[in-house]
Amino acid sequence: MKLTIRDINPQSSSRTLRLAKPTIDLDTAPYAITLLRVSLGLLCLAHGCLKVFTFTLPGTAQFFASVGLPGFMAYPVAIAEGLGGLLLLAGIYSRWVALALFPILFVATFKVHGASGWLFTNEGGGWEFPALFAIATLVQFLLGDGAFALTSRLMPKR
Amino acid sequence: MAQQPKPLVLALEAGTHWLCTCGQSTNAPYCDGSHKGTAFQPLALELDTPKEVIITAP
Repeated sequence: MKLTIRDINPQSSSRTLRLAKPTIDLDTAPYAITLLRVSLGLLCLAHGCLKVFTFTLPGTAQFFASVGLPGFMAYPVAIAEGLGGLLLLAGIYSRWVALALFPILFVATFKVHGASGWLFTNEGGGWEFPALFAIATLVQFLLGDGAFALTSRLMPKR
Repeated sequence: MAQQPKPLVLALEAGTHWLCTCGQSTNAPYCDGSHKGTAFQPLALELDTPKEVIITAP
């Protein structure tokens, strides 16, 4: 056994080590991340299914056109929501999936719900809910997978 | 080919840290008293200031 003892270099050590006190509780944080991931996954999957089965894709395309978005975007958006939701639920590259979903919700906030005002109970639905949803995807991007995610199973760290 | 175990990088606070040398500790790399009955004694590592300690085997 060989011991190497070094000064802690504040530039090279990770931010967690530099902080005098940890800012997150590592015992519970992974489960909080999982809760967010599963919630986002179910919501995205539900919205994807809604577009495909309830509104149908041509119906969604019509709706997109009615709010001033290109109608053909309904197809990739529905696929992205469905697939993104499943990947988030499984915890496969949650970070990048969440980042990929952000533009959809960002556009939804401004283009779809922007005109309905702020309160989410407004006629047509105000933008506060999609805004929170969009921010939640960014939060998920910063947090990563959390507990019970499959990324680590697929890509074992060596 | 067997893989070399990764060096263990620890960020340790100032103070005394007892490191396991017998290999019996369930709290590796720290001593948990499991060396009782073996010929090994834990290694006491005294640090005045917080340090980064890298443990490499062998």
